[in-house]
Amino acid sequence: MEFTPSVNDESRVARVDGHESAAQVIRDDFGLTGTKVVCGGGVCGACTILLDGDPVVSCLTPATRLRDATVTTVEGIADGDDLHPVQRAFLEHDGLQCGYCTPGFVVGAVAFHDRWRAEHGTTEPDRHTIADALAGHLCRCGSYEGIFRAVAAACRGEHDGGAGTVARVDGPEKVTGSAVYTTDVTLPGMLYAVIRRADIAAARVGPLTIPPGTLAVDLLPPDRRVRWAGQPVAVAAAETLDEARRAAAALGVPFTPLAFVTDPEIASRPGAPLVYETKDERKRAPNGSEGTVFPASWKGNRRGPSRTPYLGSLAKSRVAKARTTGRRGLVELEFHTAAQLHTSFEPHACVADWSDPDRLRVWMSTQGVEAMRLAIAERFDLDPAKVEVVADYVGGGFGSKLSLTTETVAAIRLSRLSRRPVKIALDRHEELTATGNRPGGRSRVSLLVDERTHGIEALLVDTESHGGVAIGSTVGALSMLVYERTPRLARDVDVVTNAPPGAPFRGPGGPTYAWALEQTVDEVAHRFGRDPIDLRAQWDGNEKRQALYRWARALPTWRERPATGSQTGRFRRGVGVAAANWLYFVDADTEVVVSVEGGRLVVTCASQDMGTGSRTVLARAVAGVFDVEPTDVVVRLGRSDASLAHGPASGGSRTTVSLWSTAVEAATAVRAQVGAGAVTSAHDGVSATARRGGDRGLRAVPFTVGGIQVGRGFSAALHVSEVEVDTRTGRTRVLRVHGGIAVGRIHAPALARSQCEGSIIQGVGLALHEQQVLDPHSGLTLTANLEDYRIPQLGDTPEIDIHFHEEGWDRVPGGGVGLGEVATISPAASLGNAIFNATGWRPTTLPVRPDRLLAGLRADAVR
Amino acid sequence: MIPASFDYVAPTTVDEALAALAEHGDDAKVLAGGQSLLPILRMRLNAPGVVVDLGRIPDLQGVCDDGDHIVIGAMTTYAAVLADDLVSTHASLLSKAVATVADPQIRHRGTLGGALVHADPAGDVGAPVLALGAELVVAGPGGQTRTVTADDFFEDLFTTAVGEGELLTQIRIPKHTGWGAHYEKFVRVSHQWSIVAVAATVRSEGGTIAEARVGLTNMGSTPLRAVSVENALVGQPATDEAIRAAVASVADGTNPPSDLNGDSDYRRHLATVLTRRAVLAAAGA
Repeated sequence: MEFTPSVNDESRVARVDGHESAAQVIRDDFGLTGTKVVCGGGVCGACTILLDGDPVVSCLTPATRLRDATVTTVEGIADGDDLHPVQRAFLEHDGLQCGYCTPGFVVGAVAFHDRWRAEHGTTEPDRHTIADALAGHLCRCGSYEGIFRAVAAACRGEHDGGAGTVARVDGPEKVTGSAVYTTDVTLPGMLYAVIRRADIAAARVGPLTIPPGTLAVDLLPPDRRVRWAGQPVAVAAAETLDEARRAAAALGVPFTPLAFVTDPEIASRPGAPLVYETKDERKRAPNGSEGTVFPASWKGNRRGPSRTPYLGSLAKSRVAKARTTGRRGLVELEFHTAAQLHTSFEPHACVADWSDPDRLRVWMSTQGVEAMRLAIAERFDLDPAKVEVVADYVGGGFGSKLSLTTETVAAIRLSRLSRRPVKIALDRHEELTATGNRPGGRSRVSLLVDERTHGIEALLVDTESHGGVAIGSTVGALSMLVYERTPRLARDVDVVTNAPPGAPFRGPGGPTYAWALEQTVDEVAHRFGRDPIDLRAQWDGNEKRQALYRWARALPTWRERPATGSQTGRFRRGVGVAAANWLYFVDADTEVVVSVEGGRLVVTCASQDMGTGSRTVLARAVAGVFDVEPTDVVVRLGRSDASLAHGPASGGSRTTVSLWSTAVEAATAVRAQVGAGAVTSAHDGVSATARRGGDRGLRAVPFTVGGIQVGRGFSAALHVSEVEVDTRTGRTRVLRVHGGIAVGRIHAPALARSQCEGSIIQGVGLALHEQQVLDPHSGLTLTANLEDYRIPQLGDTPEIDIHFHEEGWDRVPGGGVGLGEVATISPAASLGNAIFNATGWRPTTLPVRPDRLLAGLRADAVR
Repeated sequence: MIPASFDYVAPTTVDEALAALAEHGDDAKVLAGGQSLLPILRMRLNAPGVVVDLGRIPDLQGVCDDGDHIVIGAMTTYAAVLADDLVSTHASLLSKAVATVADPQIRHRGTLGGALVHADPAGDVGAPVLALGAELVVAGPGGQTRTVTADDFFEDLFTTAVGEGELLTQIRIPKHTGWGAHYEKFVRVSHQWSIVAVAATVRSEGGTIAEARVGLTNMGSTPLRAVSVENALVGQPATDEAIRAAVASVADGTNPPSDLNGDSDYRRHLATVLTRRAVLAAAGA
């Protein structure tokens, strides 16, 4: 059927056969790609449109319901160049990061704002009202604080007129829906491809049968083994997505099922089915961490232990002796964590165009355009000069988009065969199954202190990481870097199972080590009646963290915390603290070019912005030198080709620290050439390139691990959280979180704050809600949609206060290091300690589900 | 994923809709608000040949007063139910439950009748409709109608008394004017499906509970009515202590599901806690 709805005040012709969703028609037929599809199930709100003035999710609205309707998409919210007050407020208060959920939030907030203003004038709605009104919207970056601020300010009427400020230089594209992500790219003659995945957890696969006329390739590893349910097996392309799906399903894949194991406990037993049988197979086990995987021995499905010792034997013997003598100074606890899914809102996606044999162009949702260009060249044995990688906008990655993944390899292979552009975008089910996770695991911590001085005598951390088919855990090793240099030993074991592979996830191993170590420290403080901050301060040699301890001690939240176990009654409040430690990484090879083109300042780097703000960092660096507005600077980012010098990947918290000083240096060189006046087209052609290089001091950049340069010193963070526990239902509400971050100078304060707020929200998710669950009978992922895998929303957001300690990094050019990871490590652990403070019961297993908490309280009561 | 292809018809009267259903038999699927049907089609759990869209039948929309009942058209959206004065005056329990359904976007499209016929045990409208003693009007082939009490309406998981070729057309709710009401919903994250929820509405006379109605969400394969608790509440003072004693047995004999949000024992415990809170709030205590 055919009809003509009014879309953004224009009459559009829709031809539908009845089965399409409104979102499909809006994106594919009307080309209005500002409307995003994330969950496809009405949970996340990214596809929200106004239908006859009401906000609805277009993914659940049948296209036929657009008949006779008036539709407004995000592209129609502004009046030409005149943005809606809500859009201006989002820009000023930075209610966004990667921007993928932003169009939905903007449309939903506009609907709320317009109604609110009509009924309440400029009265400010409270947080609860805003959370209820925008309940159907999710943001994985966790920009909720900025969204609260923006919606409240717009409702107060503060953005009714005038242009306002722009915190994030690419904000305007994101709030108007004009930012183009890989999922939005459509090329003439493009084919669509769909990956066929294994629906069993272990199998041997015979030769693929490809029906005549089908364009498909095999994606199995050389040993033709399936090791996890969801593993790519083959890929088929066709003229439409529908046809590609049918073609993928029609491929003949002869599976011979094999025995499999998904439970790490069973996998550790003798006689368990082996995930990797031979040495060669083990060599190909994927690396779930960011750094190099050091060799370790295997025993069945157990790899390791990898030992990180400092006087390790002494530590072991001290703990053993303390156990025998029953010393009070020995605290031993065991912790369990669940796998957390990255849940990037833009799925992994790629459009590969190899129609010209001499030039391969690849649009991909990646955290490293430059690294991917080189990886693609290597994988396909090409001159890197013939490859171009584009990622103008990236809808979140959180570590899962740092490597060359299947959809990209598959799209390139199909494009090579067909000589046509080929697009693959994963659906939500695939994204939540196959693109990695923060592995769960088990940690046993033994912390021995002197009963009188409370100084540490020994620390043992034994961890078992459950990264599915992936290896490379460093959870225990990370625990060794924090407190006193006393005898200690970490033993990291990977237990492989037939489960989807783990992958680097924002501070890999960090939140996991802190969940165990920081709660054990809290337990020591409790046992000896010590203030948990004072005890840490006694042990901690990190001056930056010492400054954070001073800050935290003065917080009213901390000063007024209750004594542990002192409360009775239904609701109990508690306050907890946890510290974080992280490494400082830098990409010393980074090069930034600043030039004048058409009278405008242009800054160029082969890097990308996945929502962390690298575009804004570059703009601010250059703008500062010339004393202009950051929005006056043209930033060329999100592209890597032979003409561009090396740019850093967005991973390991190394982007800002690599870019800032380099851009300042290049801008300063241009400034020297153009003189003191304003930059005009008379200066066109002026250009300067700067290279980051190492830091000042003895060892500029001491060593490189797996391509990542590790700088000197550790970044630090501290989180103080307040919770309220409902002791009748077991539900925990997070009321307030203070985050202290010591990474030196902050170059883009609004964005840095937003990123730190987001890390707290991800920590709330890790602590209370998020858990990958597999079906033990099939190995299939049960939590492969956003209803069964729940991430926090506005209504679950605590009040957040971020404090930056900006000193201590003067020897680093620019005076500051990265914060994306260090800010992520201690929120969950601080919540665990807060729950203990509230209830006297220590949650050791993540997530702290209400039923578990209630069972824990009851067991304690019985004891 | 893309749903399998199917045909689409959009009748403008109930009779036309029934005729379309009669013609296509079990090949047809009824589209109300689409908020549950579209995900199912997308997941290919159900591949109908024909979708019959009820969105263009004016007779199925709106709320009207019918003496001692209010009558809600099956295709009335949650948002319209929520905004309706007749509902908030005479069946405030339903308003309060509907206010907790999902989020504004879903409430703008989802319909009361669609949710009742879909009969997801975690859905929030079954328990209040049951507690309020509603009657459900079902139209069948040839346009004949029959009335089913809410007690007989919910048969099993996703199964109601609405048979093949039939449509739910109206929800008739006896007026509960002046009754206090509360819907106590327990979720882990905001705006989730109910893990357990309790719908309670109470008529008080001078601090004493004169009548009470209690419905339970997600405590079994259908919404449940806690008749013994309703009876035990009658004549009780609206105090924490009295209500606590009267509702203590609310979960007896229930067989709630076990899932990632908790096992059945935990749900039975929650039902007791939530019933106490719901009745207390409904009684204004």
